[in-house]
Amino acid sequence: MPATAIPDTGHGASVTFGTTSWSGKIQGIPTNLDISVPRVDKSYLATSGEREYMPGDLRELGEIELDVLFEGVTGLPAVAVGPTTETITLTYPLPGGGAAVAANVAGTGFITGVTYPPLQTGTLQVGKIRFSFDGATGPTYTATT
Amino acid sequence: MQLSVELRPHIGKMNTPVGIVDIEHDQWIAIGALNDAPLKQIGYLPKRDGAKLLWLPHVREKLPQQIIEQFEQAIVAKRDEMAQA
Repeated sequence: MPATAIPDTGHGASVTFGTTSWSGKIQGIPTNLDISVPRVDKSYLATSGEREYMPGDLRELGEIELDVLFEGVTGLPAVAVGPTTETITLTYPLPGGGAAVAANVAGTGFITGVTYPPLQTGTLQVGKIRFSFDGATGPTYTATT
Repeated sequence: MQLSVELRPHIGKMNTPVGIVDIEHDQWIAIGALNDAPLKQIGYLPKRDGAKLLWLPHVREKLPQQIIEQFEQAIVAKRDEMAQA
């Protein structure tokens, strides 16, 4: 049965790391992938009205931030330095309507940082994991099928 | 209980200077089902030897441990079978 196009929430999304062994609970992904081209100001002294821009040469890949439930047995992943990259896959929720494979954004990348949770009475321990695609392979988009 | 597994290439679309191209990642999309249920994605399986199934958490969440292990064994066996073919 072919997948049908239907709007969906973010519930059920997940992130997998190809080699980093971390499989904790993701509470949310408040900062998703941002891809942008810088704008280069090409205005000159005779420009009138509005500034003029041209697209920059390289696209910028923003960092992605995960809010994760901190559990003592799992902790947070190590932040490696050096030329260590892995395939990181952000999988969207599998929608209803006959789809078998969920949409995803994937590519090689690395963990850029983690934040251990603040510790407060009556407050759930929520840490953060940040990662970035490295621009070598991908990021690619694969549609739901 | 009958268990079905399938591995599909993970191919995504990437922007390049000459247009959008298909890129195959170094992992399979792992598909599975129990009995007569329709096949659904259960995770990703890296192509490298020894790598284990990377579960989609919401799929794994409510499966009994025994079924989890059966899926993991079956999916790794499938990768080995495809590597030999």
